[in-house]
Amino acid sequence: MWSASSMSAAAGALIAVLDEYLLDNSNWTLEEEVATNHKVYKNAGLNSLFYFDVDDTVAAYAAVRISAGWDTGTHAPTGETSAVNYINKSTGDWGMAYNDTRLVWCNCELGQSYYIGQTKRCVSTLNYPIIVAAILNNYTTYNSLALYHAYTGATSLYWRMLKIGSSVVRSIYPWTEGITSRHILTPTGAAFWESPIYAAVDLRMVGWLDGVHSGGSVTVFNNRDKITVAGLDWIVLRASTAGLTLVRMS
Amino acid sequence: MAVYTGTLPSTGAVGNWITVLDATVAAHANWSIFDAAAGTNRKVYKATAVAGGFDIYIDFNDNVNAAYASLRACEGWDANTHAPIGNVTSVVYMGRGNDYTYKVIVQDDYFILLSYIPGSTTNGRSCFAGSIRSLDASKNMAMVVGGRSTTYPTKNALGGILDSASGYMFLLQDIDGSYNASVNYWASGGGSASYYCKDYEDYYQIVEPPITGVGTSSGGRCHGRAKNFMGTCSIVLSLSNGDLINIGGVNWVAVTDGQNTSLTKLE
Repeated sequence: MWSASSMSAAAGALIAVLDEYLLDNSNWTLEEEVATNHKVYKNAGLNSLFYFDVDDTVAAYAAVRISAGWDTGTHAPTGETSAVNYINKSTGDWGMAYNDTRLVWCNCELGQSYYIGQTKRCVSTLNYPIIVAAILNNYTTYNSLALYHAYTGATSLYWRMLKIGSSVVRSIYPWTEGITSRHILTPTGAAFWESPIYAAVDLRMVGWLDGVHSGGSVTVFNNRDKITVAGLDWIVLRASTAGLTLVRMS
Repeated sequence: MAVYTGTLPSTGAVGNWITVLDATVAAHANWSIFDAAAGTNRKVYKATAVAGGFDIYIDFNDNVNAAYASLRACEGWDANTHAPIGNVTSVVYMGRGNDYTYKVIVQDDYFILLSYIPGSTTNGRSCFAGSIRSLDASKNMAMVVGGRSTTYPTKNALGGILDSASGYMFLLQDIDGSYNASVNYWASGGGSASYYCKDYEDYYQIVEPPITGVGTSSGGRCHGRAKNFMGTCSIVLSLSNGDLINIGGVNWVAVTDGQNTSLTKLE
């Protein structure tokens, strides 16, 4: 499912969108309203169970994290939990690709994108949700889902996987081809893949980003360009700092 | 399709590979010896165009050195003058290895040579000649992959992603129409961890790498995908030469030179 519209950068702007659109999918439910503009969403899709904590109480960014569980008594995550990271907000167009087990948030205005939820898992029964977001709350030039993170952006962007049931939070990376060179485009369209993801340290292949290609530097496509491949539309997210992401608009 | 296995002679000599190719590649219904007199220990093998594609001519020169041969792809070949017609790729190199096991994988539009000592973790070598999974059927994307120079015939070019200095890949024509385009794996340039391909159930996940321009050449475009081989990481996978990995009922064989490791589908 792809939804898109425009929003402000005010407190609560992201929450408002999630409430209106994400909750249309029955696999996503509101677990707790922690405070005004601070909500926790639960995903219970196929072989998937995790919580998405969205603190949207200030303008310009929302603080987000995912966790294996959520305690509504203490209003705190339980089990494997990612660090708090950030989704940048700005006034203008947004888009969101979401399904039963993941959402991809796109700040179309600035060419930024973020990933919450399951990959297309190699082992479909493993509940290993991932989060891709920004480490700091003032990034207006980074695209978190771009390949860029694997290189000089590695300390700026946050790619993690919860190995739920293993008490482990792993760094993850897309298969990389180098930061500045190959951007896998064709003259007639695009040739790209949903990026394979592997986990650092234990070096296992996790799966593929669901409807997302994490790309390198690009000179052909511009932010918000649309590409149709095999009848499916993809949008280009390209921030001012190197790297692009292609997100399937479905 | 066919897979042949044998052993190279105890003493490497020019012509060893030609003998093997004549008994394997030339025996395939879609391949033939187009020019048996291209030179001493030098022959041109032709694959007839498949599904509206292009005829493929591989000029295999096995008279270069006792330790290695060279090969290139040609747009056409004149069997009378024993010279290429039209465009050609640069040459790449394929080592031999005394008493090495060889495997030859032959399909309608490509062949792969592998050579190694089973169980060892060094000195495996390989080459590829034929078509990629092209993104543009109007272009003649015959490709050769092999050692970069005579210095590197002992390197495993199909796994040459950890040591890009040792392998070379050339497309006869790339997606932009340029000839003799130096290309590379999409995944080239990463670290060893990038090529670990086991999942959490310990199964291998095959990812045939996209073939792209090197650096920003050809705009860094993707031309297609490799056929039935991929680079991976021997270090953390503990793969040795000749190891067989069954994926979906089909074996893939590991070849490594100690740094560059490949998995090649045996069919």
